[in-house]
Amino acid sequence: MTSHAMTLPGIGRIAPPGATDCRGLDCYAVIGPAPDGDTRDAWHATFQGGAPAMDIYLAQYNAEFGARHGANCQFHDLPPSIHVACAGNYRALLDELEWANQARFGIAG
Amino acid sequence: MALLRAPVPLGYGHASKEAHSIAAPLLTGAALALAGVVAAADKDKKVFYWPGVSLLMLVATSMALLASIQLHYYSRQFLYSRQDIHDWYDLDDSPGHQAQVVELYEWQGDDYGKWERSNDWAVHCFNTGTVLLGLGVVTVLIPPDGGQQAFCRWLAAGLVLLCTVAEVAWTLAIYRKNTQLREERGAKLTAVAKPRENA
Repeated sequence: MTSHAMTLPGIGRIAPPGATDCRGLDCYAVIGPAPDGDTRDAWHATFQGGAPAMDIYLAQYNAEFGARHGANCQFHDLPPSIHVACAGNYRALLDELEWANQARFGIAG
Repeated sequence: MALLRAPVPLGYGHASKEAHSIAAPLLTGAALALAGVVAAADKDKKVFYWPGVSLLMLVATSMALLASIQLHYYSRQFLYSRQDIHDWYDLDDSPGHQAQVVELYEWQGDDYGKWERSNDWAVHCFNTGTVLLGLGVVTVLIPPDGGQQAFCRWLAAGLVLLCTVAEVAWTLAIYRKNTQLREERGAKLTAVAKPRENA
């Protein structure tokens, strides 16, 4: 693509609005925008209910996006709001995974 | 791994650089030169129909395009590839370097996000600037009451307006197209990845 080819027709945006790329292993899925009701606080609130509450939450908000993740993706059980909130901060995403695993299994991720 | 992030299509970074560092400065210069012509026009001889509106449009064009240049320069520092990392750091595949490589790859992905956000603002400014330039040129071309060659000037103004409308439509279309392409290619790449035993 040459510069003159872009000058008149404009230039396209690169980031999907409200969405982000998954940073999981072999995973190139675009995750988001988060559905209404899916927020970081709401997800964290499910931790008190343990695995059953988390599974209900994921079934409600992650059903569409969960299927997009790769077979090796370690982040497939995090809801879209967490992916979007941690966009640009891989360590924050790892922390979220660890907290979710602690809540689900009582172990560190 | 998707620790590293990359633009889709891969040539987007280079194309974006050309738009913001070559086309934008040239268009800024053109807009300011035209603004100078309008500002210096003889007030007694009515040459332009809306000289004030023309000046406003052209100056706004310059500001939008300058913003796109500045944002592009800021964002460009955050776009680099895996090859850049290995060019700058003395790293190999040995276990001793594994932690450093992972850390650098994490930063690349995080920095890519910064580039993506800032560059998209530069893109919005560039596209706004080119549309404003088109509208500015239209207002300059509209003939004043009793102006000479009014028909040709109206024709030229109409042509530029038509192209500007086409540009707006095209820009909105490629906004959608680029993000759809990212989703489609991401889904395909993810689907063909084979499961790993230690994943």
